[in-house]
Formats: sequence, C-alpha cells, structure tokens
Amino acid sequence: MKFDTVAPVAAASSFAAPLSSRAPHDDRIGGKLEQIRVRLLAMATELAPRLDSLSQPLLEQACGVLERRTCRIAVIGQIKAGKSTFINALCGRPGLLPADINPWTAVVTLLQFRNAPEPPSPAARFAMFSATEWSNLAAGAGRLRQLTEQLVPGFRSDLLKAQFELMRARAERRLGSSFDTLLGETHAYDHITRDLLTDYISAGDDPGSGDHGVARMCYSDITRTAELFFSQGPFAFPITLIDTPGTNDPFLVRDEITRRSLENPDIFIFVISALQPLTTADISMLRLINGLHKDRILVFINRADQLADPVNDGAIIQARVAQRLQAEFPALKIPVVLGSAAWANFGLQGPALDARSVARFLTPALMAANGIEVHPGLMAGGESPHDRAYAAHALYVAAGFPKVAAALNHMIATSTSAALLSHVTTCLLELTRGKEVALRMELQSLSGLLQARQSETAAFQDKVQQERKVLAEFDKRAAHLHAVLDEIETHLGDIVTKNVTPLRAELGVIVTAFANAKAAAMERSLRRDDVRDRWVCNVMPLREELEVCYLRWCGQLAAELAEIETEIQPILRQAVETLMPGAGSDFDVPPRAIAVHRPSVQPLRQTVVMDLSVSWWKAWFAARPDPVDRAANLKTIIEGDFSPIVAELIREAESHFGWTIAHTLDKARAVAESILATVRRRNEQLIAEFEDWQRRGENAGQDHFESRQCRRAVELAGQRANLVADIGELSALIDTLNDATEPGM
Amino acid sequence: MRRVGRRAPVTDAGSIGRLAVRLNQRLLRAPRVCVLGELNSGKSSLVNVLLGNAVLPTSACANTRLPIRIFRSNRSTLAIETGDHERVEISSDQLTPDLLSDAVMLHAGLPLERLESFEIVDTPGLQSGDERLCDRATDACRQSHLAIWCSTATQAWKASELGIWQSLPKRLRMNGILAVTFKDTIGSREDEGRLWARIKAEAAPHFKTVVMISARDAIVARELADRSKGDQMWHVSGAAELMQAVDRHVSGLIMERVRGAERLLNSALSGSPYQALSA
Repeated sequence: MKFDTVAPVAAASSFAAPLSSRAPHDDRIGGKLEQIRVRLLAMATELAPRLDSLSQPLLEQACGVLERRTCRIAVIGQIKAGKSTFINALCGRPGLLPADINPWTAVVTLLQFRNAPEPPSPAARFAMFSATEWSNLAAGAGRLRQLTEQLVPGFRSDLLKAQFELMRARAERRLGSSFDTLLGETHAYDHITRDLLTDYISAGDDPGSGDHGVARMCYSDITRTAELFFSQGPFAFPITLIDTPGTNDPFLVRDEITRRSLENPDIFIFVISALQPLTTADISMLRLINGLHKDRILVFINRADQLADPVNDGAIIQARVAQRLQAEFPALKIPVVLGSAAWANFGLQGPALDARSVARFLTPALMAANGIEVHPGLMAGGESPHDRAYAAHALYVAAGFPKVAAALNHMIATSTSAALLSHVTTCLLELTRGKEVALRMELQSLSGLLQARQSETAAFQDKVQQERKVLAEFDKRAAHLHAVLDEIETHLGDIVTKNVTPLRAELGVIVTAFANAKAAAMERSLRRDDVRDRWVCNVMPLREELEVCYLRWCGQLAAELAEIETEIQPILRQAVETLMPGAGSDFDVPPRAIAVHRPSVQPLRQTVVMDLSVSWWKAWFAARPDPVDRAANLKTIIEGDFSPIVAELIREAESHFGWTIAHTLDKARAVAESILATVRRRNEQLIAEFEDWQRRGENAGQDHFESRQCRRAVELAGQRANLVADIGELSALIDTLNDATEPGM
Repeated sequence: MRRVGRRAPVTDAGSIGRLAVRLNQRLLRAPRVCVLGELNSGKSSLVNVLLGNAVLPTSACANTRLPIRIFRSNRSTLAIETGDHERVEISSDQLTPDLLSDAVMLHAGLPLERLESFEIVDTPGLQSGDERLCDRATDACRQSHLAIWCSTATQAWKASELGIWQSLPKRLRMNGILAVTFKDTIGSREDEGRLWARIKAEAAPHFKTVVMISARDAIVARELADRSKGDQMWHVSGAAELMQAVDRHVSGLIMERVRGAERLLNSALSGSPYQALSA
C-alpha cells in the first residue's frame, strides 16, 4: 500500500466506511470484532500521512495483518460424526459440502468467508500433490509408515501397505492417462457446483461397486487442499472454516491427513454423535488438540434427531458430556451444545419446507425445551407459507444453531485474532503517541519562542544561540540514542539465547524421566503377566508436562523481556531532555498491558509412535520376546520421537521471541525518529528564519517571522488535535478488546 | 480355558465311563454367545431380538454397566458373580449400584425357549473411557464361544473397533459375526448398497459372517397381529438372517465338539494315550 495522497482512500474504500453510516450493530457472528477491524484499517490509512517515515513500514505491516487475518475455525471429530453437514448448516448453505453414508470427505477443505460486494474470483481452487509428494505418499514414506517402521524395523505392515497400494491403484485407474500431468497442478473455477466438489473432495466409490452411472474424474486421491471462497455469509469477521476428513478412520491415510491439517486454528468445533458421545477416541483427540488453551473448543453433540427421545435423552446425554469434560479438563470452560445438523438444514429451507415431513420432530416437549411458542396453525398441521416458515424456524432453533452462533461470537471475541487486533491497536497507539508528544514539544517551544520574541530581542538572540548549539550536537546525540536502542536489542537477544540452553536441558530431562519410568513400568508388568493384548503407552502426560514447562518458561522470559522494555521509555525521555531541556517531563507514555503472543506448541501435536493403536503393538511384542530388550527399545522409541519435537519447540521459541524483540525495537525507533525529526526540523527552520530576518533588517522582517511562526503553530495545533483524537479512539478500542477477555463473560 | 497336560492312559472301563460322562456334560452345555461393541451400538436391542423378548432396557441413556449372562432355567433367577467368582442369588430389588460395583457378571436365568440352543452375554459398551467396564466386557468375551460385534450403520466400522476386535482371541474372530445395527436409520436402498460395499471391503475380511439388522423393526414385526406382514417385516429387518447366522455358527461349534468328543472316545477305546484335552 502506498501512502501518497491519492491511492489510499480508493484502496481502502470497501473497508473504510465510517462507522456512522453502517448499522449501529452488526448482528452476524464476529460482528463486534469486525467493527474494530474495519475501524483500525481506516485509522491506519488516516494516520499514514500524519506519521514519519520510520513508522510507515510498521503501518504497512499492520494493514497487512488487518487485511489478511482470518479467524480459523476447524471442525473436527470422528468419521461420520456429521462435520460436513454441520458446516453446511453453520454457513447457511444446505447441501454445499457433499456427505454420504460412508466416510466421504477425503480432502482438507478450507471455506474462506470474506465480505465483499462482488462475488469472489476464483470461487474454488484445488491444489494437487506434487509428483514428489505423491510418490512419497504412494510409496508409503508418510509419517505413519515411518512410525510403524520405527516400532518394528523391517516391519512391512500388510494393512498399511495394502491401503497405500489400493489408493495409488485407484487413483491411476480413475485418472487414466492424464494422471502424470495432473500432479503438481492447481485447478481454479469461478463457480462452485455439487459435482465439482464431489470430484475433488469426496472419497468416491470404488469403480464397479455402485457407481452413479456416468464416469466422472475423481481427483480426491491426489488433491492436497481444496479452497472455496465466499463473499457473503453469516459471518461479519473474515472466517476460514476448515472441514476435515475425520479421525478414527480404518483407512489410515485419511486419518493421517486430518492430523496434519490442524495447524493452529483459533477455534475448534468438536463434533460428536449423540449416539456415541465422548468415546475414548474422542477424549484422546481432545487432549491432543487442546493443551492448556482456554476458550478454544466448542463441543457440538450432533444427531439428536436420531435419538428415540431427543428431549429427555438429549438432556441426559448433554449433562453427562458436560460432566465428563469437566472431569477430564477441569481448567477449561468448554461450551456443550446439543443439536442436529440435519434439522438445521431443514430449517434453512424456510417457507419452502415440507412441514409434514418434519412434523413428527416438532413435539410440544421439544418446543417447550427450546422456549418456542407453540403456534396453533402448526399444531393443526397447517400448510400455509407462514406455518411452514414457523416450522422451519422452530426446527432451526431446536437444532441448537443459534446457541452455536452465540458461543462462536464469544469465542471469536476472545480468540487469538482478537489478541492480534489488540496488538495492532497498541502498536498504532504507541506510534501515534510518540508523534503527538513530538508535536506537543514543538508547539511548546514555538510558543515559548514567540513569547521571548515579544519581550526582548536580546533574550531571543540568546535562545537562538542555544538552539544553534543544540543543533551542532544533534547528530552526536541522535547517534547516541540509536546506539542505546541497538544495545537494548542485542541485550534482549542475548537474554533469549542464554535462556534457551537451560530450557532445552529441562525439556530433555522430562523426556528421559518419562521414558525411563515407562520402560521400568513395562518391565515390571511383563514379569507379572502377559499384557500383550491390551498394552498401549499413553504419552499424553508427557506432552502435557512438556507443554506446561515450555509455556511457563516462555511466560517467564516474556516477563523478563517486558521489564527491560519498560526501560526504553525512560531512555527516550532522557533523550528528549537533552535535546530540549525542560520538555522531557511531558514525555511520559504510561505503559499499557500488551497482549503477549504465546509461541505455538504445534510441534507437540505431531503423531508419535506411541499414538498407534493396539494392533500395531502386537507385532512389536512378537518381535521382541525378551522383557529387558522390550523395555530398552521402548525407552529408545520415546526418546527418539520426542528429541526432534523438543528441538522444534526450541526453534519455535527462538523465532517467536526474536520476532517480538525486533518488533518492539522497531516501534521504539519509530517513536525516537519522530522526536528527532521534529526537533531537528524545528531547529533548522528556526535558525534559518532567524538568519533570514537578520539579513533583512530587524523591524522589516519581524512581523513576517512572527506571522509565519504563528501559522506554523496553528498548523501544529491542528495536527496535534487530530492525533489526540486518534489516541483517544485507539485507547477506547483497546479497552473494548480487553474487556471482552474478562472472565465471567 | 485350554488345559494342556498329560494324563494317564485310560484303559479301564471305569475311567472311560467317567470320560464319557464328562464329555457328555460338555456337549450338553449350551454354547455362549457374547455380544460386543462400542457404546450405544445396539447390543442390548440385538440381544432382545435373539431372545425373542424385550428383556433388556435399550434407551440411549440406559447403558449396560455389567455383563449379563442369560441362560435357560425353569424359573426366573438372578445371581450376582463377585470378584472372587462366587455366585450369590439375589432378587431384582436388591440390585444396587454398590452391589454392582464389586460384581463381575450378572447371571439371569429365564424360561425362554431360545436359550435351549445357546446362552447370551450382553456386555457394557467399549470405548466409554471407563477402563473397568471395558475390562469386564472383554473378560466376559473371553469366556464365550461365539462373538457378535455390533456397529452402528450411521457411524460404521471405525479404526478403534478394528483395534479392539483384533485384540480378541483368534478362535472368536474366526467364527465372528458382524452385525451392522440401526439399519432403519439408513436413508435409502442406494445408501444401503453403498454402505454394504464399504463394509464388505473393509470389515468383512475380519469376520465369518456379516449381517445388517434393524432391531427396532424386528421387535415391531414380532408384535404385529397380521402374521404374514409380521414375517415379511421380520425378514426385511435382517433378523431372520441374523438368527440363521447364529444358528449356523452354533451348530458348527456343536458339531466340532461332537467330532472332538468322538475322537477322544475313539482314542480312549483304542487304548492309546492322549495328550491334550481341549475345552
């Protein structure tokens, strides 16, 4: 984005509509946050010409974040829990994503919602695996195979290999001669149709097992990701909904694809079936995705329509699930909503709904349980459009989706996206404040000068002499300030480096201790009896321990760095003091609580050998009859798996803190530059004018000089007033964002 | 239940007589059919179909907490088997949660005709997260001769089910039946065909027989006044196929036993020592 006079307004016009011309309150999901985002974008544009050159890259960065950021919502759960149908209902488009009686979604699908006046182009984009990726996958060099090989070296899993072979043979058969050219391609389309999605996303039938007549090209085996774009939806804030193939799939390749897709979403919607709520597989999955992050998961109990008694049984099931979640994850607040995606999709038909087909669901008990007034026409089996619309509405409410929307609204307001907006706002605030102070200083000295002018020429001349002296030393002082800032940056960097070594050691100790404990436990239990059939090693406690240690260390480090950062303010103030004696006391920017980004713990989510299920372990046991050998091998496997994970965590921390430090110092430099530039400009201007005045003769140029300075003062006052208004608004925005994260909301 | 050992050669008539009595007792013992599956997969409903009577509670919230063995007896009896394998007879109003928490199995004797051919064990749903319940279920299964695995049609045959099934003894798996339950929730014939194709490809290799059944339709069919309609519905529900499969497997097992008994007797009568007595 260029910040010259013409471009910005046009570029930002679709986002920068002033608040007063919009509806006072956007009712859609994420409305509040979107209002803030839009306002911030507008403000960033307004601020650009008012701030100095070092601020521009930071402003551009902020704008980039504001424009590109989406809130990522991943919908996960076991196969056939109803994820795709749920997404269809959530985004108000029944039948969008294809569903089937068999596990059908085979590809991770991203639905990008971004409000815009025109329809998006392209509307759909599908990226295929590259030739290398595909041959690796088909040759079974994927992670799962690596894991099983690690478990039993030389172990040729019939099941795994057979499945890979099946997939490759099927893909080649389906795609025929064009198979080779298709790999590595990206296909884009301007219209989304049902057939299109079935071709690229759905698992498809095996040929000869009940095809739908016409032979279609089925790309799903080689599609890596699918992206669908929408310019309208039930979301105010830009949202990415992520549909996943589903876990616990006996077809192991799809299972692996799902796990890999979970890259740090802001929010997880975990879909479970009312008929089999919270099985062991669900709990393990929840543990894996959750870690200790609060307010990131929503559990939706789907398929209430398949219960014999949705109202009473449903209430019991919901209570049990809530209780179980509370017991398993006591530190979290996980909202639980019971409902039915199937009902919601009916409800979305509105007046077109065939009310008779759903009448049996709309029992008085159901209506009462959901607070819906019984409509007389409905109960009498009415068929008018009004009756149908009412039935549709009742069904949609009973389906639980208004509750889902409300929960999502709250979660978005407290999500990582909200924290990011808070961070951006703080950045803008600091830059604006810096500039405002600089202007204030300039204004003050200017009026001081004008006053001095009015009294005595001699005093004035003294003042100018003073300024000349300051200017002469200016460069030296400026260099000194920059040097100090550089030193701080290096110092902070050193602190990080210094702390990394003990962290690495501590994490390593945790892993080794765990591995030893498990090996010893195994040896003991083997001596007691043969546990072959049921033995499985649970590494979730290890993951949790590592995460706790890692985040605690990161928190401590962040606090240490923050303390040092507070020293930056006094340094800037001192610099102001030396450059403009007496002005330093005004330069007091009170520190604001900055939302600290947590580094990602994504490395901990990787599948490890220990996650594999019982059937793999039997082969391992068979290959290792000696108990001591088994125990030793177990220890090796655990350590071997977790050392690279620890290394990645460290890398993650280093890069995260490196970025944070650089960013903070960039802001400080931008503020410093504001001050320096202001001082220098004023000085030079003043001295130039003075000399000019002297040349022309005392009296003649006096009024000229004064009037010019007065004009300048007025200009400055105006600029400063704008900035003060901006500061007020930005402060209010930060308060709003922070309020949303208060507990108890 | 396999004992391996050497016994003294049986030569005299007394020992042969005792052996014959023992073999006879074993032949008369009805084979035990165990019904397994994950939570809410329709096991209890299936048991009701097999019994021909709605004996067990089946709502989604009334999850079986204890394995129940149902066998033939002249009058209704109820006994509880404790951790040290003692059986204590009780009455139904004595069934309290405390009593159940120490128990390993419930034994219910019923005067039902069906139970002359086999006993049935209903088990707690697996993967509930309650380790003890899961252990009880698998233990009950190990003491059985036949296993039926239940899987819901709408969320059929997951990796976790395969994992558990594969951890069971081979003798059970080789003779196993997969019952895909809640057939009535399948939307269309086409869907049924597609599901069947997938089950055939992914699950059938691990079982001897696969059937699709709707327990609800079966029970309704039994109670219809119009018998011809009832019979037709019974057939369509898959219950007929299930009963046939169970009968077939049970008969196969019994024949195997008979053959085994014959072999033992023959070898005893011919005077040669025998080395293994398989139960």
